[in-house]
Formats: sequence, C-alpha cells, structure tokens
Amino acid sequence: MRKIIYFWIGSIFALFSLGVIAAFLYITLSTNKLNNLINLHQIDNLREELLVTIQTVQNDIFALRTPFDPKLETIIKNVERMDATIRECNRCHHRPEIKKRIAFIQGLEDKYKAAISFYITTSAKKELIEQYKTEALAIGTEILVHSQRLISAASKKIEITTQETLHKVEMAKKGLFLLLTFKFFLALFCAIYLVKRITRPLDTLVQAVKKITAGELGHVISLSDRTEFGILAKNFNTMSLTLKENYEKLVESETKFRTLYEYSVGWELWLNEKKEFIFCSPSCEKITGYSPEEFMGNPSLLRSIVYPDDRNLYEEHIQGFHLNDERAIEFRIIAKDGSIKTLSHLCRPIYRGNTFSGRRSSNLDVTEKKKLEAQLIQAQKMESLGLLAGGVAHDFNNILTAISGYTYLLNQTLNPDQEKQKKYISQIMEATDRAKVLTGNLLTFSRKQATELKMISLKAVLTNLYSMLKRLIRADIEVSLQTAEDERPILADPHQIEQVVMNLVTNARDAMPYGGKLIIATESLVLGEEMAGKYGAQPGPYMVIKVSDTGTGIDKEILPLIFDPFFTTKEVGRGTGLGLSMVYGIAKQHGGFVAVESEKNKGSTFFIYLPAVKEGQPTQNKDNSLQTDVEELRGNESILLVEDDPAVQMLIKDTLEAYGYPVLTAPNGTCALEIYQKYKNDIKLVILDAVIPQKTGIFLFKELVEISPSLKFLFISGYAKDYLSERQLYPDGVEFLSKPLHPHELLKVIRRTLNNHA
Amino acid sequence: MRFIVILLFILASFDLHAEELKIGLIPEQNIFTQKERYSYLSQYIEKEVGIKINLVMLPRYGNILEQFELAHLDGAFWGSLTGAIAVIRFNVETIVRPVNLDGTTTYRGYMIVRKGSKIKDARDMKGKKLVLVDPFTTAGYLFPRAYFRKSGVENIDTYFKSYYFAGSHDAAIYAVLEGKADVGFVKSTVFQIVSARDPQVAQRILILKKSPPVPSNAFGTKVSLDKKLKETLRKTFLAMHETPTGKETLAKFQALKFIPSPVTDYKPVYEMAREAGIELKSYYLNK
Repeated sequence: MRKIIYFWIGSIFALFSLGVIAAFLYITLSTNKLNNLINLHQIDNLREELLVTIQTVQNDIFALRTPFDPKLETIIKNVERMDATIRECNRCHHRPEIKKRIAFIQGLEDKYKAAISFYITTSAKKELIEQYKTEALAIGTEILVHSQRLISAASKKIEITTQETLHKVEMAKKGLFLLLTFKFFLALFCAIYLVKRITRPLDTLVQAVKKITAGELGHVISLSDRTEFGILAKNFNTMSLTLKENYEKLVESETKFRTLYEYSVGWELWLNEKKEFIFCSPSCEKITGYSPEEFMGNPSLLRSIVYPDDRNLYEEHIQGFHLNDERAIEFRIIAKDGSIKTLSHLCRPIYRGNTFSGRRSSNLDVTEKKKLEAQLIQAQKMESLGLLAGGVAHDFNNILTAISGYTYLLNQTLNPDQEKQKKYISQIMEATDRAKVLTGNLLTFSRKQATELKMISLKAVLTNLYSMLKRLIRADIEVSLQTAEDERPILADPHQIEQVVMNLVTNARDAMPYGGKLIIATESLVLGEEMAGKYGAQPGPYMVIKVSDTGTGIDKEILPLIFDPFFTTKEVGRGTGLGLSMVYGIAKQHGGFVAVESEKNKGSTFFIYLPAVKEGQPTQNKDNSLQTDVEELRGNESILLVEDDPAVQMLIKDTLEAYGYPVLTAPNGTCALEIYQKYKNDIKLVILDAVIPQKTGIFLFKELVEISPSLKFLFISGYAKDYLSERQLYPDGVEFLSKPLHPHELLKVIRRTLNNHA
Repeated sequence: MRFIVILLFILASFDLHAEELKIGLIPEQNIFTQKERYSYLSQYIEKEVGIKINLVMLPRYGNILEQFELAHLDGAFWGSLTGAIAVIRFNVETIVRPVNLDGTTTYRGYMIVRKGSKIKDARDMKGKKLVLVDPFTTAGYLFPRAYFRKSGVENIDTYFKSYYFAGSHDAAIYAVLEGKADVGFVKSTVFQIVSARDPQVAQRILILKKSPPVPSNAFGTKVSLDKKLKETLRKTFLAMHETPTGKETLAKFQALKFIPSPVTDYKPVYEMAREAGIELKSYYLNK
C-alpha cells in the first residue's frame, strides 16, 4: 500500500510539477515575448533617443561658431551619446538586415564624427568651414533619415511583434488554462482514485467492524488486494472467525454455567468483604420463594427469614464471616409461602491474591432429606421395633405352639363325657388363639407374618367387607363406600387387606364419639418418582384405599408416633396400640406405604397405597390346600427333627410318634449332621427350624443335600416364609410351615412331602 | 591673521591633495577618436592612482596653451610644439611619453600629395592649395614653415592659391585625399592610424617629404602639482606595460609603453622652430 500511495502521491506531485513547469514555461515564453516586446519598445525608445541625439548634435553643429556656440564638451558628450545609442541599437538588434542598416548608420556616424571634428577644428576660410558644416549636417541628416527609416521599420515590426506577442500570450493563457485545468482534473482523478483506493477497503473494514459490533460475529470480508489491506482483510477475517469461535465457546461456557446455576439444586450466594450480595443464583427462588433481585436489593432479607429458633445459630455463624475457614451449618428458614425449610449452608472465603474479598456459600434445601432422614429413622425405629416384636412373637409362638399342641393332644385323649375338662381345654385353646392373634399382629407389624398373595379387586374385597363394617359402625356415623371406576387389580392378601380396613375403620369410629362421617374410597393413580421416593416406594401404578373421618383429628406432635407399636391414645384396656402398627406393617409387606392427613377437630384421612399389578407380574402363590384323612396321615418313615425349642421339639416328636413315625431329634445343626451321618440310610425326612443355633437351617440343608440329594425336607419357622426367603434362610420350593404349628396340619404336610418325593 | 590667509592661498595653489586632474588633449586627430583614445589612459590612471582624470578636449592646438595659462588645466598630453612652448613659457614638466607601436618614441611630419598630382617639391606647389593643421603643430605647421623657408618660399599667403588650417591631422589628410587641398602637412603617427583605418589613404596619398623626428606627445603637468602625485603618476605610467590591465590599456592606446620624457627631448623642435624662423618664446603671444 505504501508503494501505491507513494506512486499516486508521486504522480500527483509529478502532475503538479509538470503543471508548474508548464505554467512556468508558458509564462516564461510569454514573458520572454513580452520581454522581447519590452526590449523592442525600449529599443524603440532607444531609437527615439537616437533621433533626438542626432537632432541635438545637428543643432550643436548649427549652433557652432554662432553666439549660441555650444561648448566642445557638450558636443562631444552628445556625439558620444549618439554613438552609445547606435551601439546599443546594434547590440539589441540581431536580425541581419537590421544589423546591416545599423552598421551603415555606424559608418555614417564615423563620417559624421570626422566631419564634425573637421568642422570644429578647422581654421579655414569661411567657405571651407561652411563646406565642412554642410558636410557634417548632410551626414547628420542622412543618419537621421536612415535612423527614421530604421525606426519606422522597427516600429512596424514592433507593432507586428506586439500583436503576435499579445496573440501568443493570449494563446499561452488559454493553453495554460486548458493545461492547468486538465492537470487539475487529472490530479483530482489521481487523488480521488488514491482516496478511493485507500478508503474503499477501509470502508469495507469499517462496515465489517460495525457488523461485528452489532453482533454478527464471524462476518468475513471479501477483499482481494495484494497490498497491506489484503493482509489486513485476511487477518480481520481470521480475527472475526476467532471471535465467533471464542464467543460461541463463551456462550457455551456461559450457557453451561447458567444452566448449572439456574438448574442447580443448590443456591449459590456470594458476598463481598462488606457482606454485600454480589451474586445470587436463581435457585434461591425455588428454595425460598424470594427472587435473586429481592435478595440483592435487600441484604437483610436472608437474616429476616431465618427460623427464630435458629437465629442464634445463624448469628453465631455470621460472626465468623472474615475467618479463613470453611464453615457449615444447617438452619431453617421461613419461605415466602410460609413453609419451613431446612438449609444446609456451606461457605468458604474468597481471596484475590492474599486479600480477603468475601465469602461464597452453597445452600442446599435439605428439608426433604431431613424428612426422609426422619422417615428413615422412623422406619429404622419401626424396623427395630418390628425385629423386637417379631423376635418376641417368634419366641412366643413357640410357646404357644407347645401350649396349643399339647392342648390339642390332651383334648384328643379326653373322653366325650369329660365335658368339664373339655370346657377347660376349650378355654385354654381360645386363649391360645387370642394369643396367636396377638403374636400374629406383632408378626404382621414386623412383616414376618406369612402372606398369601393373590390378585384381588379392592372393589370386591371392600364391597364384601362393607356390609360387615356397617354392623361395626354406630348409627350416628354415616358410612359410605366410593370405589374407583378405573380400578387396577392388586396383588395382596385379602385377609390382611380386610384387617387393615377394619383397623382404620375402628380408629375412625373411635375418633368420632359424637358421630360423623366415614368415607371409604379407592383411587387408581400413578405415583411419580418424587412422591414414591418420599415414602420409600417404587414409582408406578397404585391403588389407594382412603379412609376418611370427621373426627377429632390427630395432634401434629403425635402424628409421627401413631404407627409406633403399642402407641395408643386410648384408655388402658381399650386398645393394644398395635392396630396402626399392623396397618403400617401390612402396607409395607405389600410393597406399599401409609400416609395420613389430619387436622385437629377436623378429622383424619388415611391413605393406603398398594402397588397395582403390572403386566407379567406373577399374581398368586401356590395354593397348597390340604384335605387328608387322619389315617392317611400315619407313616413309618424315620424323621430327623432339628428344633432348638425343647417344648416345640417335644410336641412335634410326640405328635409324629403318635402317628407311627420314628423321630430322631437334634437341638442344633452340628448335632443334626452327626445324627444324620450315623442314620442316613434310615432317615427319609428332615424337619428343620429355619433359625437354629450353631448352623442355620439353610446351611444344614445344603450340607445334608450334598450328602443325600434325594433327602426330603420340611422347614418350619415362626418367621414368614417371604421373610426367610429374602434373607436366604429358606430354599425356595421346599415345604414350609409357619409356627405355631397345628399338629394336624403338620402331619398332612409331612405325609404329602413323603408322598410327593417318593 | 593676514599671514595665515596668505599661507592658505599659497598652500591651496600647490594642490596638496587634488581630487581631480584636468588633462588637456590636443585635436591631433578626430576629436572624438582622440578623446576615446586617451580615455583608456585616463580610466587606467584613475584606477591605479585613485584620482579622477577629467580629459578636456580642445578644439585647437593653441587652446591648450590658453587653457594652461588660465590655469584651467593641471596637465596635458602635449604636442611636440605645444609642449616645447609650454616648457618655455609655463615651466611645464614633461613626465612621460609613449613608445609607438613600431618602437619609436618620436614622430615625423609628412608632406603629402595625392598620387598622380605631379607635385614633387615646393616648386610644384605654387598656386596650389595647401592644407596645414594648426599653427601650434610641429608636423602641421612648423615643419612646412621650415621646409618652405628652406625652399625659398617666404610667404605662403601668396605662394599658394589658398591655404587653411584643417585643425587636425586626419582632417588635413582627408583634405588632400578629397581634393580640398593639393598638398598637406600631417603627423606621421596620425597618417599611419588613418591609413590603417582607411586603405584608400595609403593607396592614393603620396608622402613627398618627412621631417626630422620630434618627440611624441608627452604627458606634462603644471609645476605646482603635488610632487608626490606627480611621482605617482610618473611611476604609474612607466610601469603600465608591466601590468596586464596596463598592457591592455596600452594596446587600446596604440602604444607599447611609456618612457621618461625630459625636456631636453624637445631640442629638435627648437631646431625646427629656428629653421622656420619662429621665436617660440613670443610665438604664442603673437598667435
């Protein structure tokens, strides 16, 4: 570009110089002509002077030897002037004919001077003197004549030359004007071209810059130029594309960051060293209900929404704002909608170099987590209670098994006429039955009760139950049943479902001492992950049993305790405190959960969520109904009984031996193994308690199977089969009986087992 | 007081520090030519000596003596006769005179006639027209008076048909050439100059007789001129041929150099005056 600029500027300068030179030449030529003209006029003046001088000399000659006799010096001066004038004329004129004429005049002048000299110096007679005078005058006159002719010719020449010169000057003026005009436009063109040459690419660049400024990043310009502009354009395009790329990266990064902080669950809050808010992520609105702008505009907002009971904790935390440590606390806030939320607050100091410049905090809403933790604790508590209850029930079941069994055996030995004894035994058996129900409830609560799942229709079960329920409910309570139209089948133990509804209806009745409304309803819905996760359940389709009352409601303080076993608000003797525990246990056992809504003096609604059947889901346990005669129960196969409870062991042994079976007993797995090793050829069936000391039933089972693959087994336990299966304490497909054992049922299952695997 | 005034006048008369020298010139040839010729000298002297030279061209030879007597001149380039008279009458001190181009320092008088005029001597001149130059020239008057006296012509007024004084030697030459006179007496140096300038002079004029040499025109100053100035002028003239500008000036002046010109060099003039029967002391007064 530099070369181009130099070239064009040089061209302009050259044009200017040429113009100047041309003007100078024109002016010079014109002025030369004019100078010549001036010279000619000066020469003309000279010629005039010559004439005057000659005339003067002539006058001097006339005046000589008269009273007006001029001094010789004067004459000499005048002649010298005349001579000088003629010489000047000769010097000025260069044309040959003029020079010739001037030379002639000069010749005459010499003669003139000689004649004058003769006339002045002679002392001759008057006639001779007059002759000299006449000669001198004649020569002078001739000089005059020739001079006048010369002057005349010169004057004409001057006039012609003047005309010519003026014409040439005029032409020169015109030519100069045209030339300068042409050069002006040429220079203008050069200048315009140069300007355009420079400004056009500049304009292109400027427009491109404007476009980029307007946001059109990546805009490239097409500028094929071999000068610096081309390089500039190329670099510009590179810059533009790089800008676009970097901007896109920045946008992407910003989008990521924005997505991160907009969609982050946590609420990012940054304060400067003056505790002024400098950043507040949008998620604060989800958590607190207040927008980032509200927090940014009111720095004391956060402090104002801290839950009063946590305010001291919060203030104490704020005291350490300038400390160089990471600090974490949990405190509650009152959200904009009035709800109470728990925040997990973690803050760190921010440093720029070594200068403290504020703190950055991440605040997570752990309200649900806390609820879940509470639920988990509750569940763990319930689990623990369940374990305890189950354990107690299990042990108690063993006792009841012995009582029930021997009572049965005793009853078998009574004569018909021993009515009193039979009545006593009957009472004992009724009491034992009630105790079984109690242990059954406990086991149900602990989810160890055996369930018999089948695909049922809630509508059918409840409809069937409804009529019975009406008999249980007082007349001042309005009962209604509303079942869902879009019902889904569920996989459940109908008896247990009935039990649940019965318990809830009973509680509802008791909550409405002065009457009210009781509504039993079902609903089909699909639970999302959030709702399902809240209760520790799986998302999917559910059927909900709703039992609503308009009773006294439940205090918020005791609401978390209502499912605890043995918790009751009823008077002593009016409730075992296991009803809702049982409801909770049954719902859990069915893979569902219980929820409750209650308002003091308004009433309560219990929601029992039960998973609906999905496609392909197995719907029914095996139906193992047994209808066998007593005689068909007898046998003679040797049986190994592994039971650690002495009473139960004795009962079963006695029962089996009474029906002809030889029985070997072992109190634990090790002993059982030794006995079997010794009598394996005789023993055909092993009755195993799933939970025995030293070696669990399943391990003993595996060892015995390994010894004798065709050996038959019967597992017995006070725990539910499902419970044992979940813990891999029971091998699927093996016969199982739940305690308390009924001798008749025991014998039937034994006979079937021995018969099936024969 | 009176003494002081007289002293001042005396001192003034000595021209102790003259600013201008008026130098007279005799019309030996065309007065314009003469003036021009001597102006080269005057310009040189002005430059070398640092004094202004005012050349005073005189219409007649005798005017130079008049002007000198009237103290209108400080010096002059004297003719040989006027110089001789000036020495006698005014105690003019001749300082230098030029050496002619041919190396001579003298000139002669020529008696000239037109070729074919059949005049050979004075006897042939009777009744002819005579042209002289000036009564105060050697070649143009003294020489012919001496010649005619020797030739027995006592009265030229009656011997010749007519005679007149041309005033300058070149006028006399042209008078003979043009027939205004039959015989003329001119200065040899002028005759040479005019012959060189006008070839027909040499072609048509015949020199019948030549006079004895007499000194060429010397430069002489009044007695009262400052001695230092006089010495400076003398040295300048004498050294002229040694400087380039001096040589150039001499060439224009048509001389080789200047030499000292003691008054004793005028002896031939005095001799010729005696032969012509002219008493130079009183000659001027009677003319």
